[in-house]
Amino acid sequence: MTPALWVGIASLAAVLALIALRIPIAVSLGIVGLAGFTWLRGFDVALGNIAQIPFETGANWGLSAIPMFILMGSIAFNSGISESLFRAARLWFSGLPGGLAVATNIASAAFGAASGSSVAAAATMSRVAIPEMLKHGYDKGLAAGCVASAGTLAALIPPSVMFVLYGVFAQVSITKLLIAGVLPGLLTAAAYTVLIIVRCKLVPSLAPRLALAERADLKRERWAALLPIWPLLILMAGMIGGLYGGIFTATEAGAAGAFLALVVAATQRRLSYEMIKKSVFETVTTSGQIFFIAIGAVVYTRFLGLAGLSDAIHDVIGGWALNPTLLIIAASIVYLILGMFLDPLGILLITLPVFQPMFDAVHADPIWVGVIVVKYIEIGLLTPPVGFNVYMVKSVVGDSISLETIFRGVGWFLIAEFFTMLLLIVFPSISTVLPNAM
Amino acid sequence: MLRAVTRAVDLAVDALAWIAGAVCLLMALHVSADLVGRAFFDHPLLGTDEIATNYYMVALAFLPLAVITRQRGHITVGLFTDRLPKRALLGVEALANFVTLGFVVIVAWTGIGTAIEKTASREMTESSVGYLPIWEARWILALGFALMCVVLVLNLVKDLLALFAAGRNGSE
Repeated sequence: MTPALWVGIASLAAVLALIALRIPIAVSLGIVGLAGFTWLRGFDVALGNIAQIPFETGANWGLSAIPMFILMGSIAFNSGISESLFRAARLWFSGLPGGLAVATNIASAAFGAASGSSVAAAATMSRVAIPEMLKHGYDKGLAAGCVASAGTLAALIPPSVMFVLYGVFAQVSITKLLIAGVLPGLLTAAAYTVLIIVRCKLVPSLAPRLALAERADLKRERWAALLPIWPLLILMAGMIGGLYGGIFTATEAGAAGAFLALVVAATQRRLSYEMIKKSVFETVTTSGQIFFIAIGAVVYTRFLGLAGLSDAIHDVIGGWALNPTLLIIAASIVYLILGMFLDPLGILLITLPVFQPMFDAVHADPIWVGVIVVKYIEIGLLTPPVGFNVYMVKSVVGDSISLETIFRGVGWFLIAEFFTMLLLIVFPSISTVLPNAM
Repeated sequence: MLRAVTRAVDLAVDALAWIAGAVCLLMALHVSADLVGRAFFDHPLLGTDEIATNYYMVALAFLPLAVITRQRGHITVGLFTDRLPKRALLGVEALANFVTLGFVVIVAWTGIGTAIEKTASREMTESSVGYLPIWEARWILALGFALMCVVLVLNLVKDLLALFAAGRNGSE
């Protein structure tokens, strides 16, 4: 192995060791990057980089879509849209085997059209759906696993913070990426639905079915329950239509979405000072966390670049990496392993400079690559030992469900993910047909 | 003493968080207004992109750092340390705070240096409405990281006090 490759491996080990010591991910990445710069070029060069990178990372028009998407999701959440969605989905789907889990899944997909963050969607749906499922005697693993997994749909269905980050750092059209996420998001939701129904059909004790009389009651309320969710349909149509038609950019979509969400909340008489304050505060702290990690990750990846890691990896696997199938298998393994230990943004920024040149070399469609990478990163939010969506669900349910139970519940959904990934990899057009038609 | 300092720092931290919140709403309104102006009246608000990029974004990225730090809300992984005994956990927390402080001091220090330099040269950027001064934005970054340092020092002091207290209780 070349020295650069060793530097890459050793520095990644150092980052993971610092993260394990409870040091914030941003700082772990940043400090190893800083030490690396110092080691390669001296402390002055390291300082020069630290002087530039934070401002460059913050003052970025492309990334401005992130706070706007988060604001839109927060306002939609705080105006109670998630409860309305779950209520409507419950009335429509609870007749199916595992009906409440199916409803949770569909409601999460719909909430994904207002929210751009997978962890936020998992948090929201945990509060709304898990108590309801447990009340009806659902298996704890199924209830919590379903919420954690369905949260990832928010990162695929526009808006999506991950696609914005991917677009900015990979220099690919954000608008096209957002549109590209629609079909894979629906495919994932469909795969989850099939999985839930099949499992509950085979093992009925997982999800006790509703009595027939109760089901008849639910049917009567179905149409009325759709009334409170019309605002979301407006948001969805506005967002996807506007992006697809090229009327606005992603940032403008986020800003307009947030504005529209405020107007909708006002018409439903849910607009209050407290609600705005809470939404804005959530937005500000979440964006701050993301930018801080982005800064650390950029420092670290600049150091990897300086160390020549990209070229080194290229040299090692260059020969067989020219085979697209082998490349995608190698990338899959790397993403699955990193996904077990790192946060989404860290994985994205660390792997981009390594994999992007290789995918370019085999002329892979950059939009398709973006969808595959974001899918893997989302799967990384579900895999143990470090799975942020699972942690989030755990933090909401407290002691009532153990972490092991949630991971076991999520395990079943990973089977669905296997088939979804297979389809997305074998048929790139699932990801590219919509953006190519723009 | 510690309480008075904490209260003063809290005021500053809250002030920056409020400014960031106001900027967040302002950005949504400003960008929406630009969009509506362009789409319906063929009259966009010139300079929106540049102001959003160089001011709103800088404020949103750096002003909330102190409040996140006060809530100990930066993203960490607790998996390997959660089950440690309380005293060991406090020690790990203090160490993590110390390392974070080391990094952030460097960022704040270089940030202040850059701000002084760009102020002297009156840094500008070219925009659709002519030259937009952006050297002021450098101070937003410096302020955000500097206040984060102060909060980290306070967190560290509190961690160490808790650690000593736990030590005393443990030895009795």
